[in-house]
Amino acid sequence: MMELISGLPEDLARDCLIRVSYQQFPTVASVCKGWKTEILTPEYHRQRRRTGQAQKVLVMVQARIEPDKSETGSTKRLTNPVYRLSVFEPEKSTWSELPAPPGYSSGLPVMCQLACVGYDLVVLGGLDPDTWKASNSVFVYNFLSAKWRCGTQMPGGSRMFFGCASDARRMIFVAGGHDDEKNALRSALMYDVAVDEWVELPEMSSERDECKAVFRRGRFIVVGGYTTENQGRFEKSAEVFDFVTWKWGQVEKEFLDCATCPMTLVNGGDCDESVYMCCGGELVTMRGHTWQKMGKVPDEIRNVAYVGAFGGAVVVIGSNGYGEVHMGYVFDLRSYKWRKLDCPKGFTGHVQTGCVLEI
Amino acid sequence: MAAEKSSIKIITLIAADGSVFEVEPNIVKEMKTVQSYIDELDQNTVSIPLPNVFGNDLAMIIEYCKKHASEEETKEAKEEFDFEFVKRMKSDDKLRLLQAASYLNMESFLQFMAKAIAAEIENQSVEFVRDYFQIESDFTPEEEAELRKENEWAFK
Repeated sequence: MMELISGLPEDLARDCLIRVSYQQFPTVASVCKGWKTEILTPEYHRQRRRTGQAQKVLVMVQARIEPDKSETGSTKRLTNPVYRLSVFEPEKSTWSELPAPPGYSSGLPVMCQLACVGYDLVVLGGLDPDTWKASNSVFVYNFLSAKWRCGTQMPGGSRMFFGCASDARRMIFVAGGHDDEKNALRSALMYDVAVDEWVELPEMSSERDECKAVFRRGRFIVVGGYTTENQGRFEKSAEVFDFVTWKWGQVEKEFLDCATCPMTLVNGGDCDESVYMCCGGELVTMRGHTWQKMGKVPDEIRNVAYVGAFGGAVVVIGSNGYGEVHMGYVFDLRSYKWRKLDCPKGFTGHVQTGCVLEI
Repeated sequence: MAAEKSSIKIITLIAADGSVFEVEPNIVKEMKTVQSYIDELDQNTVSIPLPNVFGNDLAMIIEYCKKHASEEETKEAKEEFDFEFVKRMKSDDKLRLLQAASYLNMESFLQFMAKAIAAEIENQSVEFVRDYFQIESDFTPEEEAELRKENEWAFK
């Protein structure tokens, strides 16, 4: 077999190649067959993770700031914000933007959801930015090839404001939301990203519009939301899907502390079994079955737009009020201290949702 | 620490080309290959042949170790040194130093060199990377054309 790097033993060559940034994957794969094979082997990525070379990345659906309007420090005047995917790397403090999916150069579907599985970032649903019609579209961005592909649409009629979570390995789960007549839904789906196949799950016990979903300890948990009758009156309850019996378990009535929109609820990173959320100006976490306060959300963030958890840290993105610039703070789970993120001007637009990856 | 248990005051390192370097024990602390050798000795001086490392490279490694072992140098000064240290190297130097680091079993220096080599790939074209690592493309002309079409930006 040819040497990866001429004159170097294979393990030393790999020591070098695991240190390239994910942005260089397409270049590495184009150098020669050996390098292409190398970055496609699972061992390459295992070693990258094990030695701490894998990059933590926060991908957000964020409104583009038009340069002439950012002078005022406000985004109020943008009537139809254009959403794109911005990428923040907390370790390097760098911001960048992903290319638009094919056919969506004028912006991502509004209110789309994100989930990720391995190296695939999946954009699900939302309103078409041109026609404002609900779309069940699925786009997959692969970080190894730096390319988009179209996935099979979400089946079962239009679905908006659903909950969405992934097991980080293979599957994405979708539950609740509402149809195009604003009927809250109790149906749920499972998407196998690699095979590009949707499977229907049994119905939940309750309709859950605007619910949130998390994946924790191998369980798919759908939290909060409201029924068609109770428009906007959020529930505290949650239900858990059991993959062994293929059934929804007993409803946990008091899962949330307060009957609020569960949008900021998020599960922790790879080695973190906790869930976090922002509630009443506090960052809280669930210990056992009770919620505990961890720290007061900085005053500057009155409206929390998105919460994301990395190993050891929780990122909170939000603004001081409707239409104001968005900023981010990182809460260190060891020191319990907040640190403000440096957001360059182009990355202060409204953040609609986000997703955390390690690549 | 191992170096302090031993009574050795001065260590003589002999490179592949016969050049000789006299260093204090704290300089070789990171060289596990050397360390395991001197741990077993109970004498004041010792000569260690390093047949896989050339004099020029060993001089650079010692320079690096001296800077990093120094307690007077600030973190910033060490970072500045690292930056300049890598800057004056050619690609062959980096690959040779990485191998030397592996032979001497110097963990953090090895990581440092691997990082420096990986950095050569950052934001470079495929052609540049092939040139730098002296790799000839083994893709068929059709595959090569397809890659160029797909990753036009990476071939710039």
